[in-house]
Amino acid sequence: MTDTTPSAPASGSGRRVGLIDGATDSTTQRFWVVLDEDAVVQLDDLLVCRQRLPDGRSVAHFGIVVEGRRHIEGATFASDTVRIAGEQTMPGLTARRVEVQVLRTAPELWLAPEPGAEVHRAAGAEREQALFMDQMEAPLAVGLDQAGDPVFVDFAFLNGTKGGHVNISGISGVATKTSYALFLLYQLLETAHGKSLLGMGSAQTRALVFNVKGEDLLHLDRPNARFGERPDATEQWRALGVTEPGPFRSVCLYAPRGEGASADSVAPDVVSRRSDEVTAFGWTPAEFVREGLLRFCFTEADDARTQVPFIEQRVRVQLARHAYPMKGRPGALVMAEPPGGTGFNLDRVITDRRPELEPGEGFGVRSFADLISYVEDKVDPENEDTSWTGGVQAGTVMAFLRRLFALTPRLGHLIRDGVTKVDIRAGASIHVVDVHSLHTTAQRFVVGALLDEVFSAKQGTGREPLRFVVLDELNKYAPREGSSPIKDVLVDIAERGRSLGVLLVGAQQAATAVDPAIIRNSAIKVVGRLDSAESAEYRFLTQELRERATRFLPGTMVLDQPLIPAPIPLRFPFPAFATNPDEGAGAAASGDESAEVFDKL
Amino acid sequence: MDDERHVFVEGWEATYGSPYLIDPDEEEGPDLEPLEDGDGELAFHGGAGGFDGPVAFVDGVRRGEAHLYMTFGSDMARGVAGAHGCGSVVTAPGERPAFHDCNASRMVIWGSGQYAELPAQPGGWRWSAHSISSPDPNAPLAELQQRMRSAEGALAEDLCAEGHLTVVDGPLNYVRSRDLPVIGYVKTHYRRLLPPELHARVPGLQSGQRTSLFSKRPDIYSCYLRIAPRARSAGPWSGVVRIEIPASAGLAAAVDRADRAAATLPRFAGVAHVDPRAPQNLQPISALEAHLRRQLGDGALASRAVNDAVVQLAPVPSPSPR
Repeated sequence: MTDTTPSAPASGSGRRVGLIDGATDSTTQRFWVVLDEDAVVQLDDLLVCRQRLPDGRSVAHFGIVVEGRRHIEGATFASDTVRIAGEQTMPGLTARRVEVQVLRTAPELWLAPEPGAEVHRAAGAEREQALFMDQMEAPLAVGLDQAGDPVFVDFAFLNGTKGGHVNISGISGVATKTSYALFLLYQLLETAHGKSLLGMGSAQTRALVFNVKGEDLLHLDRPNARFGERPDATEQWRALGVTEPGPFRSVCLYAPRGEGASADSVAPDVVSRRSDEVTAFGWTPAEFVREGLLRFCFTEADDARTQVPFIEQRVRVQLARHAYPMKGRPGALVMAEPPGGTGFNLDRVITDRRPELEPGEGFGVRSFADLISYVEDKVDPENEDTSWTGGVQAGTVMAFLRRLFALTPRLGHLIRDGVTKVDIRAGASIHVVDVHSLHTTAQRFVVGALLDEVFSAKQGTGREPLRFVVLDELNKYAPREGSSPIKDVLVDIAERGRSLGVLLVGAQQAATAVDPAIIRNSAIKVVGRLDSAESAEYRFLTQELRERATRFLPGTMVLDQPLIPAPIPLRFPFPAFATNPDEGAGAAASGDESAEVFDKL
Repeated sequence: MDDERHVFVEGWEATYGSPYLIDPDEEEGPDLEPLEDGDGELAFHGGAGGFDGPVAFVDGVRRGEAHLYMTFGSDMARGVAGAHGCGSVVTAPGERPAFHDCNASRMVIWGSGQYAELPAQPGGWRWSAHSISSPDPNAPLAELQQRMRSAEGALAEDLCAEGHLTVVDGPLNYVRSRDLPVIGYVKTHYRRLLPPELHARVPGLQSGQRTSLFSKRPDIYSCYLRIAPRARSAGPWSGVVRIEIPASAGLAAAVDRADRAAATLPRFAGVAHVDPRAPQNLQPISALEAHLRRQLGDGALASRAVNDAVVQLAPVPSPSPR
């Protein structure tokens, strides 16, 4: 007789909530629980069922509640409900059941739980077991479950050891993708626990955050003025082990140089911060040429289908061959004939040490416009200088030039002598680069150039210190279809960045719009509110969660990680750092007030 | 005289038979006289409705699950393995009707004074064993029915003593105490009880109306009651039931009880598309029967368990020869 005695729960176990339903099959994956009359069980609650096997061994099934059902037993027709509950002329029993997805069976025995066995809440040590915390070498709290208890991921799946990259999906506005990415960064970079996980490399760990919406992220270094309106937030932070949440303390802000700025001005294009709080970023012509950034200028979807990349590649090398530093103007170039014997290998050319030239010794280049003029002259088909065009058709040259001219108003202001390049190795741990006001072409240029630099800088230097890159709208930079230099960099990061310590925290509205390699290589997948038309594509979610994700409120996410076989819904606390100008405004005002107070002393 | 022909259809599903089994050619009848309104008058009472006190409905179900034989010497005894369930639905003003005190018993009953226990089987199959003296092949099953009725009677008495207006499905034969005002609820009419001219008037009852009480037995008053409006296609007696009330507390008390029943029961009338015996089969009774049947467990599994038990049973020793 295969009798199973549901043993008494171990000490520390939660209270009984019901019995495993015998009217429905229980399987190794799922089972239903008939709830006790006084039990309140909701979605995401963690439950455990312990049973003794006929051979004397004990086994525990840990699971998460994925669906709930109630109906009146005995009601055959809809109108019976009215008779039972309205007119009260007919009896009926309300049955309450919840469906449980098995997260773990301990020990690992592939057995369905016994119908009729008692089910308890998984509390304390059992909850930790249910969430595989005993298997995590370095747990990092990444949110709170329904009951307000922390949910962890193994840091080894975040830092590249066993896995890396985080991918966040969800529709704009309510999915809180960026907020969650920043929350993760805060947990890592600003909390004592996070720093201890980063270990020796903690001080040198850097995050590059691209700001794509408003000037929202240019206020991360300020306390959130609305934090006080969320009394529950402090408690949630405390549950995560953060007793004094606050702003990011080590932030460097960059904004593009103002477009309308006069030729020599390098004021940043921001309105919600003082210009001295933000660094105007850009690239000098010398950096542009040496780093071969021309390739990130041609990132339109149709560029790859033409001969334009071919001529671009040729021009990129030629610019490097002809470039000499301008005397007295760091970053500016003088274009002149290359020294004899200069080859066409860009990597070799850029390592040449060139003498400085006077502006009059060649074509002076201080801006993007200067550079374009120089190139225009060189590739002019009438010059018949095939060393610049590689002998492509005149039509292709014209197409190249047309694109080049179009670039000037879009990103020309970013390339000029006197501007400062974003350098994440220096100073602060978080570097926020504002690209929201830039034309899409310029955004792609900035993102491509910076990602390439971060990635290149880590080649051959080992995994630590880690580099986190937070980038929203991944679909724009690495779309599912087509190819582009930026997509190449992103896919390269996704595939190899893990071992080089370059970790992408990417986000997009719909994962289907992004190159599959990027999603596939993300160890941690997070989903906020989904569009109902898209939700079916998220195969790592359960059917219930796919449907539920279309109804998530802001702040609710689902997190899928390699260790736990089912995605876990979680919430994260309201940030104590400002995530938009409004939230930062209070801090700015109070800052000004205190400044006045100090002035009066 | 109305020479027109009228055709009606019985409301009950055909497999349940007809609730009106009175043979019109049968001249003989007890011809009971109505007592309540004097001079043998059959008056109609009630129809207003509105009583809203606690009500209890009591019913039972039984199922023979296997017929058994026991041979001893050249003789043979009959037996039956089966189960019966008994319970109630209790309603209180403003509350949902609820199942109350529903129990099932599984037993083996032997005739001819024989006795043998069946060994319990895995899955919770257990039988209590009982014996009756009758050698009649049908007697064991009748005993099962009897036991169910007794359980119903006992439960009805308890609920009535607690103050419920208690309705037990069927006549009052099995309610032992005639001092408790338990109401018997009879759905099927087997024979004419009133004189023919009064009997013919009964279908004229409106929903919620009852006839004058008449004395069915020295200890029981009875009256007819219509519990639902007659549908256009339905026969004259559709929706007419007969209730029984103990006479012990006197006619006045019986009148009060009959009025309460008339005011209460139509609310619970069965619904045609839900219950094949609507409207006479009351909603709580219908739900209770289904609930109790479920409590009896799966019939096929029960039969198999009996079979397994019999196989395990050692041969019953024959009684010593005379």
